[in-house]
Amino acid sequence: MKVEVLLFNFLRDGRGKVVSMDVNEGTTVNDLIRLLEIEDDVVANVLVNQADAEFFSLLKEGDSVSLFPLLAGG
Amino acid sequence: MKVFNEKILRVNLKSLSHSTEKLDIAIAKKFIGNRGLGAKYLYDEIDPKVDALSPENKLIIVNGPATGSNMPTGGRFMVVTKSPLTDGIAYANSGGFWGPAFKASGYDMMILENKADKPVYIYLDDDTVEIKDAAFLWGKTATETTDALLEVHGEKAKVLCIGPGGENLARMASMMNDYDRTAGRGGVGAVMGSKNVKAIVANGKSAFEYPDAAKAKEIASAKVKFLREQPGTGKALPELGTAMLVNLVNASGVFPTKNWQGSQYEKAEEISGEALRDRFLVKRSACYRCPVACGRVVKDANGEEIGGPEFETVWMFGANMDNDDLAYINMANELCNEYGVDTISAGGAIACAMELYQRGYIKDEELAADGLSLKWGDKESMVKWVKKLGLREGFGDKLAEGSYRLAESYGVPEYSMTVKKQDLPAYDARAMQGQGLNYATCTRGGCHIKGNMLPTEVLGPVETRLDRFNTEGRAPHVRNAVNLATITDSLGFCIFIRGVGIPGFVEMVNALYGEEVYTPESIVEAAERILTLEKLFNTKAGLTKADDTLPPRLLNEPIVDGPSKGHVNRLGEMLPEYYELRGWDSEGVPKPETLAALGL
Repeated sequence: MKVEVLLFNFLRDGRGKVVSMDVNEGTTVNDLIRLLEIEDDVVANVLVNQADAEFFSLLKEGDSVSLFPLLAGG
Repeated sequence: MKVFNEKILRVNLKSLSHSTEKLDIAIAKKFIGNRGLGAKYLYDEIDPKVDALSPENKLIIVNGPATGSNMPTGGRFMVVTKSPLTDGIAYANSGGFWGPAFKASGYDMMILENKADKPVYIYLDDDTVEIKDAAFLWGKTATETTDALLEVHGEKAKVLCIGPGGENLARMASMMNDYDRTAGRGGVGAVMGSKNVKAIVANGKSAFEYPDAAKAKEIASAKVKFLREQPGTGKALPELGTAMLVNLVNASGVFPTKNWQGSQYEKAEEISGEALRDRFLVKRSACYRCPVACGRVVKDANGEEIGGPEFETVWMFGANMDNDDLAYINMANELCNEYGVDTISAGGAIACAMELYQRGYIKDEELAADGLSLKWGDKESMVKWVKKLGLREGFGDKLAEGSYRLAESYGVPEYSMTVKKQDLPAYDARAMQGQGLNYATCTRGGCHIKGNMLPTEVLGPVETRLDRFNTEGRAPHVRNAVNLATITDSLGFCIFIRGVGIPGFVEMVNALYGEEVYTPESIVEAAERILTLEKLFNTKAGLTKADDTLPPRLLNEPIVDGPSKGHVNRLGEMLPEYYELRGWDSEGVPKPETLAALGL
């Protein structure tokens, strides 16, 4: 199935702003992070289709996943 | 210099005289320093009911125990006074390098009293205090003033000044130091302008004396290492500056648009930290002893290097005015700095005026003489309004009163997005319940940074953070965030190192004293004391529970778009518990037993 991944901050380095991926049924957000070769514990905020999501959220065809590293400040 | 020089400089501007008095170190420890110590002196020395812009108000500039030390970000000073914007207490701090230079000149605190008959500036170095004629500086912008004073006093001097906004008593005027660092909120620059003080030049050179230099160095190094290892302060913040928050806050649906009529901006990517870096960043900049370096140096349309905008500024002159052109946000930011006005409250006045125009309260005829519009997204007009506000020129005179007084003059104060007449920052509290409680109760009026709930309600994995739509049990979290910010402020640190936590702050300050002055418990008690004293000041100034509230829009009008659609802030579910936790009565007035317990 096809999903779209929106990357932010330094997660874009070497990967770009938007990545289209073809993944298997049953893929979770965590699986996606590994497929993108992002180190463990770097991703902090995950949204799927603009809603807060968990690392173990199951993805489905056409999902748009936003990944943010841990931010500080404000 | 050391934690405290134990010297206060008192300047009588009417007689152009000054005196030195001893700082009572026991009082300094009781109120920690910086914000707390300033509050103590302001409370003791002025009638909270005085007109903030009258000679009876006092302007206090004060350092904390960490200011000028080797601890990370230990360079901040605080300005404490009565606010001409909120009519309550104002406290605004700034980084850069001026605070350490002020401490190195031998003083902990400066109290400016009365009003000079003509413009003056104050010069300080190791042995000298001079009150000098500032006629040649009056009317100059922050950069022009700083350049002129460095020409006179040498490149190593540090300059704190006001721009035309402060001279013209714009109620949200800021004080600028080191060109583009800002004590921004509450109109502290207007108070300085009301006293006819254009600038304060600090040129002290004494070094910090450590009781155990090796120990202080060891702790400072450990904290720097810790901050560099954190993904936020070590990578995300240095990489993009505070504007890194644009995309996440927007994606969460708490990024207000068009004076808070919407809560998600479709063009956020265009004004994001990523876009700022890719299109405008020249280099990063850091304040005194800061390992984070969140500051930005960007290029303007002519390729000149200027200070870059912070997240709040990007939002205010971007999404909140429906402007997706970062070049114009950079320009607006630069003009706010040069004219010396707070980007949030100056922008808030313009955004509010745009909504008043949209709704027909402000008519074209009223703007004809200025030749500018108040249409959403009119970026050319937007930047010109900043200048007119700073000069109180044309309609800019009304803008300089701030959004609340502006909207009130048309009979519709509800379109001012303020708390205690001070404009709110970039987080829609309808979908961040704790942030709403923080906004409503902040003693200096609408503000996020003095108890920011962003880290606990938005940042981080959903598995570990608070449910931002839930009010239950939220008050203790807000109290803890406010206490942490109060401690950070009062020590003289930057809030961005709050990750070291209260034990980390205690470890650093005790190392600077060379003895165990604080425990985590006693420093929290000191924060409670400071907060309650600030609240007491506001109470005596005439502020009541009715002022501990949010704009009607946040309480009554649900968010209309994005993932936070349908929510309002449910302040009433949190406020009573917050008052109770603070030991304040149901009207928000500190109880006698609370005052006694805190030694007030």
